[in-house]
Amino acid sequence: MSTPSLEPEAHTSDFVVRRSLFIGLSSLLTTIGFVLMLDRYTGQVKFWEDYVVLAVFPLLFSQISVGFVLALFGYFDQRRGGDPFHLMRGAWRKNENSIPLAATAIVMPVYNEDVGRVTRAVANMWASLEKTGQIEHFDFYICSDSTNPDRWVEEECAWLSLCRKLNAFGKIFYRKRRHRINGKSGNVADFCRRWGKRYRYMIVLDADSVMIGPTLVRLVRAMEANPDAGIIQTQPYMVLGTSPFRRILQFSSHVYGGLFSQGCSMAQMASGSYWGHNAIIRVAAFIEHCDLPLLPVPDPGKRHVMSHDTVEAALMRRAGYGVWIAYEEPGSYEEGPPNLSDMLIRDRRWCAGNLQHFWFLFARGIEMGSRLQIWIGLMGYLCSPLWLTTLVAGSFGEYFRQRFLMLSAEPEDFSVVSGTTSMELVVLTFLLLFIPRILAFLTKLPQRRDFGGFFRMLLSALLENIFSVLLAPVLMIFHTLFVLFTIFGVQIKWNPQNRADKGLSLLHCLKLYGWLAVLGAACWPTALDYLGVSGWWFSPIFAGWILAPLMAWLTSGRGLGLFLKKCGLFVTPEEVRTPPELQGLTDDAADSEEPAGPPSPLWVHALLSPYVQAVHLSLVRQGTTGKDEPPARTLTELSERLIREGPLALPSQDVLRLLWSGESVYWLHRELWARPKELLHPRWTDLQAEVEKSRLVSGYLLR
Amino acid sequence: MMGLAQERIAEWLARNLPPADLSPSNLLSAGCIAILLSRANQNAPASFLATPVPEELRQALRESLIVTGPDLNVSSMTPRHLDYGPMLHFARQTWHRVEPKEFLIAAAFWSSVYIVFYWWLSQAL
Repeated sequence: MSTPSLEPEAHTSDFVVRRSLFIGLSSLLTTIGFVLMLDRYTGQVKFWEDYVVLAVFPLLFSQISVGFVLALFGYFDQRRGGDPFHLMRGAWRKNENSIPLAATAIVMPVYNEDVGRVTRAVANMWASLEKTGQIEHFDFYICSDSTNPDRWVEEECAWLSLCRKLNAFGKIFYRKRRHRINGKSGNVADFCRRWGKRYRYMIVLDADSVMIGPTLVRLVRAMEANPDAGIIQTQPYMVLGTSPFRRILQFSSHVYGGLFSQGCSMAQMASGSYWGHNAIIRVAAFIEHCDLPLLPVPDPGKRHVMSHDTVEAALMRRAGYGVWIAYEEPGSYEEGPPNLSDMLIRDRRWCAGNLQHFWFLFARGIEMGSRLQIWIGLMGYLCSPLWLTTLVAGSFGEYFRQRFLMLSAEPEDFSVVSGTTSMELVVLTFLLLFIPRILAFLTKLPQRRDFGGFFRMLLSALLENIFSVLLAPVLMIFHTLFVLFTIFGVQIKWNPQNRADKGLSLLHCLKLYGWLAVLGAACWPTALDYLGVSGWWFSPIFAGWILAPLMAWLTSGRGLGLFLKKCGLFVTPEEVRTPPELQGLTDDAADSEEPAGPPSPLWVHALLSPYVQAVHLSLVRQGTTGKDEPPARTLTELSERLIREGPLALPSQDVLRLLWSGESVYWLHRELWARPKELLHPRWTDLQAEVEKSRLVSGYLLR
Repeated sequence: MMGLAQERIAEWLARNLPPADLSPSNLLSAGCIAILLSRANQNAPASFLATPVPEELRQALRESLIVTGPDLNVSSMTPRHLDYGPMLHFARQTWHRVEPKEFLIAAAFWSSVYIVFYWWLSQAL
């Protein structure tokens, strides 16, 4: 396969202008901020804390500058009607319907997810693709890494039920990976190794992703029309939130997200971002160039790249393929974390992953745009400890300066102090922080009806800003801890995200965030006492800390979220007009369809129900036609223990071992039904009576 | 008794499903799924284990045999060499796993140095 070159293309001069504008403007604004900061200290006695502030300040301020410039680019691009050099605006669009499609796999890695949600999403996307008339070019792959035996067995039954309902055997496939190596990236790589050659493209989704059929089709056509494109990333919008936390996030993603993505696309062009889902990838190029290298660290357990998306994009770019952001394509959705705790679990994982990208910052062959992406991703988390350092050092410096003025200053020192002001810096900082938000709000104003009308949209934006201001210092503390945990080697475990808005208990919030409230309550009066008027500048930070437990609790529950929705606050376009692809995905809609089963482990039905067992064995023994062998001795011992001591006797790992052994499953099925009841644990007898009523059998297989 | 029942079912399925070199347990699995998908258990429960089987049901059973996954089309996916650049060179030169004890001793030593220095400065000035 010939690789495209990174040699200049027709619009290179335009790209050079953009890149130099982006770097130049960001540097200029950072320099202005730094000069103002220097001016603040001119003529004053300086303490070592002030030097720390001056050293850290440019790094911090550069992030604000970068965000502002990206927003400016996005606004400019919107006003002029879009980027004429963007891949999605090429000449191919005039005759796009004549471009034939190529075989495309839609890959959905899942890990202990809500099975009903996943299958409903697949069903909706299937229906959407059917309407385009192009379904024959697409296959679906549900690639499971689930370690929960209940989820595993349920996934199998749900897959069969889905295929039967949609008449999609041979089009929707289910694969359960036996050895979960390298998490999600390993899951996708496994798909590529097994079946990648069958497809020209793959569209990678998350378990909570949904994309509409027309967009899926257009992405394939875009790739066909642009052989140099390696990845096209869509702009996924958050949807289906019911908790206030999620609703605020999805409102924010709708109002602000597009502008920044558009700016990033304009600045980076073919060196755009890839976020690991809701994107189409050229499979052959991915297989050849994007297998993740091991990191050069001494600990073998830490060599795997956790946040794979940025590195895969960098490797794709290194091979000469473009990575584009299709910010205008509609119908790309995902769900956000339902509460603050879930967001922090996710952030901890992302923090560790992003810090690993440091290695790629200086790697040879990585394109400049990719290095910028890596740098922005790194600073996204490193900013927090830097910010905290600035606050602490700045506070101590200010305190010592005030003490000096009170106790040791000569009369001439006062004249110097009275001439200095940091108001220009404060004003500049506020402008750089809030102008992007104002610009984004203005660009969405024409669609105000989709956000609940002008006044509700304005009120939602104001409340969102207040929430962000209060949340930022909480995130600062936790992200700082995450950075320290990562540096000092505290292990990160990939916990499946809780996508349901179940609510956090007040006790949980007090346990997790109470110490922050105590810290805020202690620091605030101390700051006012020791720093005087300057202490008031810290008020938003201390207020955020003090309110953290209450904010986490209040924003996690459904009740307040639904009330806000009734009031027309944080409304998004998908709530005003729900597209068919999003209908029926939430639990409320599904609960009325699935009969409630008795509460028992689901995996036992792979041993008891002939139907569930048949589905399980057909998937576990895929491709084998050999003779029936007796189970291995160790598995027989486990099986005997299961029969004697009941379904809860074995830990999850041993249950998985048994379920992987077709011989053991078959043997257990026979023994559990053949043996006299006296030789079985009593729980098996109860479960035998419930087989037909179980959620798996009556909910999926016999429906 | 259970074994006998499974043998009978396997024989019945072997007569009514396409010939395939399937072990009894695989035959039972395939057959169960075929019965499920053809809804034979709901539409024609009396035909289960019956001889002869109605042609409609036989056809439905055969059509319901599913392929659970496409054939493998194996690719080799291995990482290409990546030169991590000068940072790796520096890291390797200085790489040393610091034990907590070593870190604490170093931290204690330099803390005491700074404390003494600070005391001396405050005395001298």
